[in-house]
Amino acid sequence: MLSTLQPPRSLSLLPLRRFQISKTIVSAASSKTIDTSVISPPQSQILTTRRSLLSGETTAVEIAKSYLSRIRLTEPQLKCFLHVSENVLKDAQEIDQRIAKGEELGPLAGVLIGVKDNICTQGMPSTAASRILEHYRPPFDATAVKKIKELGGIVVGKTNMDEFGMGSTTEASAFQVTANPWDLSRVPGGSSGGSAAAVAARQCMVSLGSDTGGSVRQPASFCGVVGLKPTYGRVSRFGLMAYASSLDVIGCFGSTVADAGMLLHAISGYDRFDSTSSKQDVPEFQSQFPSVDHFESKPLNGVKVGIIRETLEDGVDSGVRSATQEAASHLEALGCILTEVSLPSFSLGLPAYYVIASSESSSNLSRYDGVRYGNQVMAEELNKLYECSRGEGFGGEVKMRILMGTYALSAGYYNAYYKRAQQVRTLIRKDFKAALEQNDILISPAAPSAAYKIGEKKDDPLAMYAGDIMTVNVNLAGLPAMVLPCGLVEGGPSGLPVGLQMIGAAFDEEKLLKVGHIFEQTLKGSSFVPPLLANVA
Amino acid sequence: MATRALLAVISASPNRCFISPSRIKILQSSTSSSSVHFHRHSRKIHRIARSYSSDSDSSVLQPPDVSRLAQTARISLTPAEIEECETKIRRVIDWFGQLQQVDVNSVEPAIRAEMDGGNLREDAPETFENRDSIRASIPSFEEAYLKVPKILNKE
Amino acid sequence: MSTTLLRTFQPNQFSLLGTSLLRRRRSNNFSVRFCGSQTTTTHEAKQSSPTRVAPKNHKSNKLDEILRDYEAVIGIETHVQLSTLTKAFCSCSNNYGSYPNTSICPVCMGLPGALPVLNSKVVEFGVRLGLALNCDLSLKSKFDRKQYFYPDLPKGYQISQFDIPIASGGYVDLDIPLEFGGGHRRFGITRVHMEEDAGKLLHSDTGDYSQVDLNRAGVPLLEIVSEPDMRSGIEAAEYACEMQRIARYLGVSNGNMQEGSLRCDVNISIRPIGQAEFGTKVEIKNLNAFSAISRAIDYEISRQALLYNQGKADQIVTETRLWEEGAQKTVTMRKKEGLADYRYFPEPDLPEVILTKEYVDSIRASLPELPEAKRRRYEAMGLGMQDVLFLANDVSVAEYFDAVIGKGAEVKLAANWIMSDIAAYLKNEKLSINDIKLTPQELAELIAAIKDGTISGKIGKEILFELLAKGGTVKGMIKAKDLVQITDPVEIEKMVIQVVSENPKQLEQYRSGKTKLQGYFAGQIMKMSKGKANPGLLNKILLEKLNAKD
Repeated sequence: MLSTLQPPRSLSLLPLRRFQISKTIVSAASSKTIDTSVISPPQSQILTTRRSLLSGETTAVEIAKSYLSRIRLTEPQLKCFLHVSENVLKDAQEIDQRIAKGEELGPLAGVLIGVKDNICTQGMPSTAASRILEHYRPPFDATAVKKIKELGGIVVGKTNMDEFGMGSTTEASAFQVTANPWDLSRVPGGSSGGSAAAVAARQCMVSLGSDTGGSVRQPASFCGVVGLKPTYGRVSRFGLMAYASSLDVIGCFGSTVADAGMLLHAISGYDRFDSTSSKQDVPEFQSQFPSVDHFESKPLNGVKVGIIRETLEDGVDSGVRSATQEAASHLEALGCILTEVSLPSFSLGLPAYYVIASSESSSNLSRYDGVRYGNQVMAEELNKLYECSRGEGFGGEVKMRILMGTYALSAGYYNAYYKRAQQVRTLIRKDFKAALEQNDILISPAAPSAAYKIGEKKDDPLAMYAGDIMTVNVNLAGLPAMVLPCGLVEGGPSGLPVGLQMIGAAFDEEKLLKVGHIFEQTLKGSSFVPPLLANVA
Repeated sequence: MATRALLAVISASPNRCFISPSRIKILQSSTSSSSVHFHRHSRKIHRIARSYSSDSDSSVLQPPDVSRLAQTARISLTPAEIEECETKIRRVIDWFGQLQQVDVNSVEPAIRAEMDGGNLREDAPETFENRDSIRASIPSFEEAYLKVPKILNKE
Repeated sequence: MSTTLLRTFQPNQFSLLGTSLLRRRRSNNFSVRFCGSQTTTTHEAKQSSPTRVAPKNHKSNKLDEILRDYEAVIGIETHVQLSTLTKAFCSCSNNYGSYPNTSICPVCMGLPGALPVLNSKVVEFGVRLGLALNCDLSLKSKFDRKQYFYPDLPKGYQISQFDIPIASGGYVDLDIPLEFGGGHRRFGITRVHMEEDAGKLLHSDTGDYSQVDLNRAGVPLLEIVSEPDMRSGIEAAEYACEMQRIARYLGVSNGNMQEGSLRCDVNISIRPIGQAEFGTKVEIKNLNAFSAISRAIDYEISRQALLYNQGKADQIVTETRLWEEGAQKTVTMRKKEGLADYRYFPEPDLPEVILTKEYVDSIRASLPELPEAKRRRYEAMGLGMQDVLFLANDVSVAEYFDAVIGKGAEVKLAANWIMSDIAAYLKNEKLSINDIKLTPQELAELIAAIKDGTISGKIGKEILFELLAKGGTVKGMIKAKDLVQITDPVEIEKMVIQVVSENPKQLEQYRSGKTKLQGYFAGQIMKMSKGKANPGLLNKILLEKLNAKD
């Protein structure tokens, strides 16, 4: 099925050409006309890999070696990985042997994939960046990982994250702080910061993250990569260490929309081990990624795009706002019909989200008690064993959310907090439904700002939570959304990327991918490669 | 609206504050607005904050007792942690208070995204092959049993 | 089962209090109100109840008087472990007695990332039991998490149903055995909900540690909560018995109390008769037999009544008490400080449980005849209550009985055979009725053969045991062993004449007044006929000959 796609024009495995920005805020799409001759659209790394393997131009081992060497060079500064697999070359060798034997190759053959550390990998450390699971090696693969492996994908390693997904900066990892490849003094976002930064730094081709309230989309925005959060139920959660079960989804990072889409296709579908996974058909997203040569003059003619008014009001960084508006103009130039939509319940999403997420997390994290796995603090008395194992095993943010959740679920408080938040969720769902009946997709910024400094919001939970305003509502409604880079704002050595969020109707990832791909491929000078790579490429 | 949420965040801080230097710094970093611009909205913040505090629903809810919550959640906390948590949690819980204002009469709570029910399993046994690995991960495992400190009375 | 168990109570097994209480309960039976649920019955009380009455004891008279002023209010929570092949939320086998910690997987061990997937059989069993208990079913129910920390609870929460159970608002009808006063009762069922079991904790006597076996973690349970409709230990025990019976009839559980497949927690309070509000509720756990339920409750009623009587009602506190079988008393296990807060919330990992009308109808159609319906049918057939309760007690016995009468056997005769000789055989051989080789068809044949005089009752009994152990047909056995009864008077007369003539001495003694010797002659003749002579005919002819004046 992949072979029906147009081969990318560039043969380079690593499209590392830098994208020059001007001194001021950079608008990536200021032209109203689409001139495909002057742009160099980003190439799908999955397709490039496949083509070069099939043509014999290179081998899986060679590709793997080049990535491993880049990991060696960049990892001391970035710290994206908590664990790098010892089996990468061995796995690559197997792919090469299959090629040598003329055996059929899975669509992800030789594709190097980073996996967020809260997604179980059999026999490979999976700690959710928590001290309480230090050295824990699961006895099974998450369904998403199993599918990736079956399709020939190679797990490069486990990426850093905020402990159990609780955070927006990856600073809440028990083990290390990941740096943003665009500016090492800044956070990569979170909680899937390691997965986002690793793709941005081309330490792997694509990666898996998880998104409970924006944990794929916000770091994608901060790191200038594509982040795809599927519809709740599209991808099995089996093997994803639960943070907030009613919100958690496994999501995908890629340096292109096509890569994120193909990875999503690989992991999607009903799973008998997750009864909240959906039996909805998974369409062949690949047909949504035509080569730019085949675009019509108005490739998105008639696509109705609603821009969410509430996401562009005060409180949003002006650079972000203008980048979003430029992106909207670009969509218009592609033929989209743009309207402003209002989601009256929008601002309620943030507190409702934090009530629900901390409540569910307080329950989901009860299993980490030191009795059956993980770190146990021996004690004479049972409650001491629990209290010390958990007290020493959990970090500050996790403890705080567990306590808040315990409070919100307590008798007498349940109705005021948890139930009320669930009712607000209904309101949010209704508002989205109405907006998506009028529009094919909705757009908004991915975050109120670009990446900020490490340590900047570390001790202020509310300031940190406020950064999730753009993304949490989508999780509450269970909708699919994609963030893709749309411009740069001032900051760091060479600007900081800003992401555009596209939100679709439930199970309509196809439309997001179609619009996203065309947007990306036509965005002027759209190669979002962090400056770090200029030195190591 | 995004703003309203941000402002609500601020209103929940204990000294109702935006005068705290650290907070201003944060807002400046997350918005490119000037402090003048920011002050323009501070009146609005006051209004929201007042309406929260006058809301009877939220006022009858007792503030969290961190030590007791920690006991319930089986988490040992140092006195310093308790103090730190107490401040932070109170601020967040205050901020949650804005939900009390929402009119949710006759609104059904949503447990999760819409989905079909069912997805039940056939009653057919399967053996998990990697059981040895599960047992090997148990910190205190002796003579085929998990070992825990002596328990006298249940619950 | 229950009935027989209760019947085997020995008066001296009861504590002093229990005995007197039991007696009181029986004598006061009709003065006790049963929440308006007592239905009039037409049971004849013809059987005299076997023994049970304890010797009048002066010491207990005072207690009897005290107890007369109080009424107990009893509710029961019954946990029924389901006999599914797999656990509730994972595919691990649900086997009692496996080697510790072998029937485990990531789901029931609560490993990170594991998710529950509901076993469809659990829903089916929930619906079956709900219907059998005359409940309303929730066409859309959900699961919730009940949260607490304990080493036998891997996830730190139990998946259960909180505010929307699968079934609610039902009732159960039962008959109190005659020896306990008899009567028909209806007890309300508040709800039935699905949940998972916890693992097992073992407390080492020597070491300073406890051991956990998680084989049972995640095994499906149905919890049945009764209305507080019971008023005595006997009623409570009979209620529990009926739960076991229904579970077994439905095939949803083996109901074995020793293995913990059926567990009852009793809530009990007492109040002065006439008082509307309930007294302080005490929970009793560790009730591993029906007899324990009955005795623990009666003990507890007496304990509380005495405290009331002595003005120490404040010493009755909300607590959980344990029944100590050895000491025959309840002891404090733990006091409850306020209501435990389990922080219930909807289980986000499981979709709602949707029942369609078609599904419910198909299950309703597949329900077997339930104990109450069986009892009423047997009663209508003319069987006495003792027979009714015996036959309907065990579903296998009832099915066997139904099959026998289905083959045309006379009801009373079939009941007698099953309740006497066959029951005795089963008891001696420690077998269940499903193990015997005698088919219902052949028992019906046997009964018919005796009734129509083909064989004598005595021979019938003899071949019964052979059929029970080895099988075969009645006709075949009669033929092979030449067992057909001799009913030809000429042939019998020949044997009579021979025996009489061979025993002149005994004849003389008989005729001189020792008429008891008739038995001797009859025995000799029967022996000669190899037991085949028709006894009536034999005796008739024998008498004629003995009394003949020759």
